[in-house]
Amino acid sequence: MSSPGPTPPPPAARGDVVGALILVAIGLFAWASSRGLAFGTLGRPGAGFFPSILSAALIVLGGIILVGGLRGAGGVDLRALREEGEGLRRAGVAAALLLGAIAIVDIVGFAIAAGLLCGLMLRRFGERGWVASAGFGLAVGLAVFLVFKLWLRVNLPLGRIFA
Amino acid sequence: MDFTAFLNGLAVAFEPMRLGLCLLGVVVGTVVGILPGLGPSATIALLLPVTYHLDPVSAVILLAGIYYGSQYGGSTTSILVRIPGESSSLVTVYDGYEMTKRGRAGPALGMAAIASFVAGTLATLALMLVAPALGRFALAFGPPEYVGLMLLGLVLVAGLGEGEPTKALAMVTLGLLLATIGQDPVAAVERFVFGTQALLDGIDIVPAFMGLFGIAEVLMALERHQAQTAVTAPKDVWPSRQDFRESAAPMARGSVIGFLLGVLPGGGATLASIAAYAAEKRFARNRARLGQGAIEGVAAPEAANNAAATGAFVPLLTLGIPANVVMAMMLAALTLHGLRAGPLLMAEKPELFWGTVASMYVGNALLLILNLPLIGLFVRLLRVPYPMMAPLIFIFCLIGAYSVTGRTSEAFIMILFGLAGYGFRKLAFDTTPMILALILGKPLEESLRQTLALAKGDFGVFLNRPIAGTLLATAALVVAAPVLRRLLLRR
Repeated sequence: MSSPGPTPPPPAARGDVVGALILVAIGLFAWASSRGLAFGTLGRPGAGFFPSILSAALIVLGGIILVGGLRGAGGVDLRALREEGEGLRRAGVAAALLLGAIAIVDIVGFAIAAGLLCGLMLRRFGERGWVASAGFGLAVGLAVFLVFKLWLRVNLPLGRIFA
Repeated sequence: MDFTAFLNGLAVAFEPMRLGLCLLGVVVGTVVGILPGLGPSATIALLLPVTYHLDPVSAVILLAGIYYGSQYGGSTTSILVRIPGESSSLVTVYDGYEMTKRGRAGPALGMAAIASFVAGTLATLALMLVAPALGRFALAFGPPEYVGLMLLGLVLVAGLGEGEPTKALAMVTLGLLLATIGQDPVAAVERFVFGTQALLDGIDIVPAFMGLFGIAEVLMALERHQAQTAVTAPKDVWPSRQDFRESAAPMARGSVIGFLLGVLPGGGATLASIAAYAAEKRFARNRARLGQGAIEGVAAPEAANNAAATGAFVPLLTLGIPANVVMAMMLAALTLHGLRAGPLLMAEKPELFWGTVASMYVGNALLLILNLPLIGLFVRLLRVPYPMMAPLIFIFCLIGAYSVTGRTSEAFIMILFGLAGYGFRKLAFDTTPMILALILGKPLEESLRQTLALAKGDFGVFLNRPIAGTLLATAALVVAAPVLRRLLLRR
């Protein structure tokens, strides 16, 4: 009689499970939203024809990935992702700074928002002093204004405070 | 081949402004290829707004130069510091870096540039021969054939790309679903707009690209805390006669494999370079030396990735089908200039097709001239600290997003795509199939609805038309292949 081996560790939560749940949720939302659109007939497909088919397909494909993920068959190990704490924080800070810059563009204008974003990112990620970071931000803001706004005439907001 | 048209193309490419743009494109491409974390798709997305001010021929010449220039540059960091500048230079690391460790970085860099030049030139010749014939063939295409072609393109991208096919198919479906946002292409009914003006015209491809490939890439790089790289450039880069003898056959094999895989949707430069290296492992005379600093291990993949970059223009210019994400960006550039890529493009805009082809010869020659003596200069770029580059890439992305409509909503769409791209990449879902589907979604729906309306809802229309039937059957086979393989293995 063989003795029972050591208890296997619980299966790691797979990235595929999370990804699949997101896809299924999007599919369900799209399917519910497309119910208000005319499906039409095969001979005269309506506006809801394509979205309904696609949302159903997304739910099915998401379901297949979900089953595979629950069996531990594929995807990244979420525990490994959790160990990347500092890296994730850095990405989060960068995204937040970008979001902040977009939020103030209409108020202070593109050039100032761009300068602030560059200065703060260099300070945070380049670990430079405030003076160097401010100088970098000022240079970028000025360059953006001169090259893109004045010379290339790209449609960049000037800001409410300057309007 | 229409030789007069080609001569006219040469005249177009040699116009001083276009020559300057070709030079600019290949220099920017080389720089982008050298800098890890900034790919050609993101750069083309960043530069797309700049091309608004150019005529379509000049815009395509500039953007094409960036693409094949990046394939040249990608090998530099693979060889010198064991970091592939582009994923297509991944396998160059094996022998290229071994050569550097043995003090032969110069010949490795030189051979990478020469192999890229030879393959790029041969592939351009093949493009000239294949594309017009394919274009004439595609003139017979109607909506059913386009449905078949687009579906085949999408499933090939899903099947041959990075990652698992089911996940890639799900991403294709998501992309197609996102393409339905806005007014429907037949009756202009609003779909998934939720009362917002910004979504009425659908999701613009530029902010979506910027987000998925610019913002997401920077977030990934910042997360990894990309360090500054210390490198020294070698002085003598010209390979020896022995190096040339050993590289000639691998270069030729790499060129053929690269071109064929470049033409295939989903194939692309990365797969081409891997396939070329695998072919050398099997067929090379001195295959035991591969991986230990053999120059064939540099010549074959570098030839393949450049040939693939050129080959990818075949389906775009003749059928209007982008073979990879960079070609999707190129398609977006053509659309922005009011052009429709496809079989009629060559007849209606011969200067665009032949001008682009001619510029590729010029660009490849420029790259060879630039890469051999100026390699030291390009390598210095690796010393720019990433915390300075990252915000600059963000700023370029923002400029690109604003240049579409000048509305902040586009910037929010961009960051939404950026976060989604970052999240999906963390969860090991490749976003490339999604962006291709986002581009092909509207024309696919339009063609499908036209087909069904013409056939009064009879799906048999696909069987009655041999080209459409063959394309759809191939697409079905590609989808079913993994399942069939699994069943056969079980027996």
